[in-house]
Amino acid sequence: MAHRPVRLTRRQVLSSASRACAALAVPFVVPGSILGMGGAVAPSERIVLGGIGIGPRGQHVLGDMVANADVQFVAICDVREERRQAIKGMADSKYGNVDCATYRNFPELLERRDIDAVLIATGDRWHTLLSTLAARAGKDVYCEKPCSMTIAESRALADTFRRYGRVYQAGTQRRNVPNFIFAAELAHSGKLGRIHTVHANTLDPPVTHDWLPAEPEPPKDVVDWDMWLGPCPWRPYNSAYVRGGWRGFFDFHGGGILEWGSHTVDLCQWASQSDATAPVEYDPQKKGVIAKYANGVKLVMREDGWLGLGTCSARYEGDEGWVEVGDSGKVEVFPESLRSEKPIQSEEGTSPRRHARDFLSCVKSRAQPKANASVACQSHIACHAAYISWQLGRKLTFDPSKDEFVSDEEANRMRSRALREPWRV
Amino acid sequence: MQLTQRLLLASAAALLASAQLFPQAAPAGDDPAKLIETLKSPDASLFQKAKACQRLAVVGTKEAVPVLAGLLSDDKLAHYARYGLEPLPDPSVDDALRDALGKLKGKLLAGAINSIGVRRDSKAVDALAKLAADRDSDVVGAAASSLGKIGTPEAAAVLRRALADTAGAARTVVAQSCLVCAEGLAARGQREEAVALYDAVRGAELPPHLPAAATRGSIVARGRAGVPLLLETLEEGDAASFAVALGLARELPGTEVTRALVSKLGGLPPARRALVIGALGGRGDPAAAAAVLEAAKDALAEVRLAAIHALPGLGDAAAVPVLLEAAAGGDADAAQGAQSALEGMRGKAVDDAVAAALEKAEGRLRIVAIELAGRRGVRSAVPALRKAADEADDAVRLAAVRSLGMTVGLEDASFLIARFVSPRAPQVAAAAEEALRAAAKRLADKDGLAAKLLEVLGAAPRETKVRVLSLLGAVGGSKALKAVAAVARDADEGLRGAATDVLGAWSSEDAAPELLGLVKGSKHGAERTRALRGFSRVVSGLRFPKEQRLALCKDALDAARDDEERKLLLGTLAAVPAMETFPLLIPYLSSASLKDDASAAVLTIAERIVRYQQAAVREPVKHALAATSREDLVRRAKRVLEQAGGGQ
Repeated sequence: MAHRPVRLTRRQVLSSASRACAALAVPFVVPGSILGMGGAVAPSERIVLGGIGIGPRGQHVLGDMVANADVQFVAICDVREERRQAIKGMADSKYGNVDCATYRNFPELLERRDIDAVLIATGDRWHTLLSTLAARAGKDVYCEKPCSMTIAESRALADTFRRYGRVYQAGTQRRNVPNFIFAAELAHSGKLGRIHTVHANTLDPPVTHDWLPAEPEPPKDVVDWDMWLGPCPWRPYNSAYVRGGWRGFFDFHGGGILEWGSHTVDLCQWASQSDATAPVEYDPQKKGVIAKYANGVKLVMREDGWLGLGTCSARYEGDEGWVEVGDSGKVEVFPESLRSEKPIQSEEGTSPRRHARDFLSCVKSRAQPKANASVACQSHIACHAAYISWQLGRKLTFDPSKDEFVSDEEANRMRSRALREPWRV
Repeated sequence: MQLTQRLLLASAAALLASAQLFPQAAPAGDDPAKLIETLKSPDASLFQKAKACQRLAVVGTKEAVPVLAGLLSDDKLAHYARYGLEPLPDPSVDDALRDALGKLKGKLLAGAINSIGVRRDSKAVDALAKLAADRDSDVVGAAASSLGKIGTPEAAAVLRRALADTAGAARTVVAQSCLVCAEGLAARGQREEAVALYDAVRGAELPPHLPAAATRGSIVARGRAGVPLLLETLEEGDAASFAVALGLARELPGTEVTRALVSKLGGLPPARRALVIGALGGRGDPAAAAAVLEAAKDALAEVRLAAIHALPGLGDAAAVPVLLEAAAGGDADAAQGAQSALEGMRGKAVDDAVAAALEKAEGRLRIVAIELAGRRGVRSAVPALRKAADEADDAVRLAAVRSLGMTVGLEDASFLIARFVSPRAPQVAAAAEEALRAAAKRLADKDGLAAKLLEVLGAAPRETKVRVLSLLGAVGGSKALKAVAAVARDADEGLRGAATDVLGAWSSEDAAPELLGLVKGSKHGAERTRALRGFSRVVSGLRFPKEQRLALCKDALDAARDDEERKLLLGTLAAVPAMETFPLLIPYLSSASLKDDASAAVLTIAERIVRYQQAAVREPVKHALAATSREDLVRRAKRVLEQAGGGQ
């Protein structure tokens, strides 16, 4: 009897993930003796972790990772000597030894068989490439957002992690922050009525195509400029890029919609139960984009007009009510009676504590974390498509089943960027 | 994103103010002919040529192809040339890239090969086959990868040969490419070829995660016929393959897969069995419910625990009694897991099962059920909880009262109020107060709850009245506010003070005018100060429109009797970070006794808004700097002026 191959559609993979998420919505308290969190954990049970490109945000995440007793951080890779030493110092001090290895070149770290998972917190340009290289090396990955620079990279990310059966968690931690969970579950519950509009807090979209003036390149041991650039087009060295000033440059940064949309559009995708797709229409506005899903739900990416609940706000509106949340940990709802649906815990939206734990638990259980590669792929595609529409200054129609704009060659040619040799995804 | 990132973005935004942006104007313009001219011009800078290539990626036509192709050997521009060529749909791009293969070396050659892969040019297979045996590892990797992306049976044949002929790092990259190739074949319906390629990787000597990924692919490509391989891998696969199969066990759709996994459970070693039970929970297929429920009674702790965690995913109310037993049991890990599971399981059937268990349970189990009914907010358990709240056993009674706070509706609030006002034991009063505070947070009809509390306020003894006032503060709403404000004018000084304190901790802005009214009407110095401090807390602590806050502060300043009161209000204004606050503060900069407080308030606001309102803060800060001589304030003022770009 002939059998057809099992086609794991995006929806199936995602529905499996969402079931896992539903299970995780159950406070998934696994005893410390099995999953760390302060319990005694045998060395053989620990997740051995390495880090690549750990700056200030990365240190925050790393701090929450190593707070789990079932994690052992053993290696840091960075193109900057000062960062390598800073992270090594932190790790050695925590463990009371001098064992944390330092690498300038990430392949050496990825080749280590003892490392199970890596935390990637480099600049955006490296995120997809490093994540996929790590998956190809058999590692699970927690990667800061944005996860990709283009639509093509977003798809490659999801494909690679599925192909290798690896666990991926995007650093979009609000999927594991209580007030954001409350809002999404309220939207899912039907108590807001039919959801017709979701709003995502985004930043002003533009970036520049300019280069900064050339400065003398430092020695490779201090800053490896070629490695810093990675897959991006070459340009002369300027220390401002390396000090964090790379944001706002097209070659290194996906613009203001992606910067926060990777969080907030992702939240809207989740709330509107659109994790397996992306909007089909994009209408650029002065400082944002209004998009529409195939089912008619409107996604508004906007900078202004929020209730003041903190950064990275999101708002979900239905026929019978609305909910708005932000990084302050607060929630506003209408009607007010919806507040009593469930006790709302307050936690700052920037905290990656629960998100890191979700990742670590999934490394062990092989479930899909809340911000897995498929989920991140779709929400990033939505952001990239919106930004392409904004750059072109015209309405675009998009076919999410093909990752393709309909009848717009220019837009389609903006879905990818050639990577600098020898890099590829 | 952290604040630092936001600040970096703000600096980037400032940089962008003068930058050239799409769609207005790319540095090189939009005319393909002019872009080509730029590339040909000996006078054009590297930057101009680079930008021309990038723009051609979007607007270039076939006329651009030979010019871009001519740059493929240029060290500085080769990548930019590919940047322009890769997305350009004209087939001459493929010809140009193939032509370049014989002319390039090293990384530039690898780059051209990578672009061929991105374009999936099947005509390049023969050329790539040769390059897959090159001496340069970058070239070998690129060639193998591009063959994988092209994904035709011809490419697959080359990769299979290469898998056998290579070793070490080269074989690894070939195996990775085989996985991509096989996936492409399967997607196009060439399942047998795909399975053959996957199985070749499974049989090769490679780092274990690669055969594991191939096993995954092979199972998926085989369809239903892949299930035995899944089961075999779960039982006998190495750690890497087991991990990948475990992930797949969660994802593969279909009840027949669930049943197959269930049938395999007994044959698995305990550690693997526990993880597969977790996967069954993740699948959410009720077909596994009975087996997982059975596993929750297993003799082995790790299996039992895994089942307890898996049960909520299966949503079966039949699990409730088993989980309750575990939650009340002596195994701490199991108890914790079961309680969490019980809280997380959804649905009315589960609620009803909890309510039913509450009625029947005894001892420790009864308390667990009572607490669970509270945490789940089981409304149908209220009658049983009311009964339990009056039982003789202290632990049962207190647990029931607390759970009522999380379950009662307005109609049962009086039950808790009665136990708060006239408790049988002091600890019952404390539990009832805690419960009423919880109910106040939940219940939407705040005025309704306030009305019930007010029913007991009048007749209650003084000490109880103070506690009822505090509860009214927790309830909030207009009715409670009106009542507390009235008590703040009571003849009893102690009650007046308590009510004023409750107003000062009010959670909505409508308490501010009440407090201001108390300030204005107060005769006693201490009471006036108390009301003014409360007013300050409400205005500075709550977020309501700045216009309203400023108007209230202006009114309060006008009513202030002395500088101590004005100092408090200047501090209050510092909590309204807006340009509109400055005019209220500036007059006090010329007061000898208030200039430092006014300066401090100006600076606090300026520090908060300078990033967005540089011009607006300069003058007020200069005024403050001129008014104060306090060293710390002078330092702050100078720093703000630097940030505002206004010098000193």
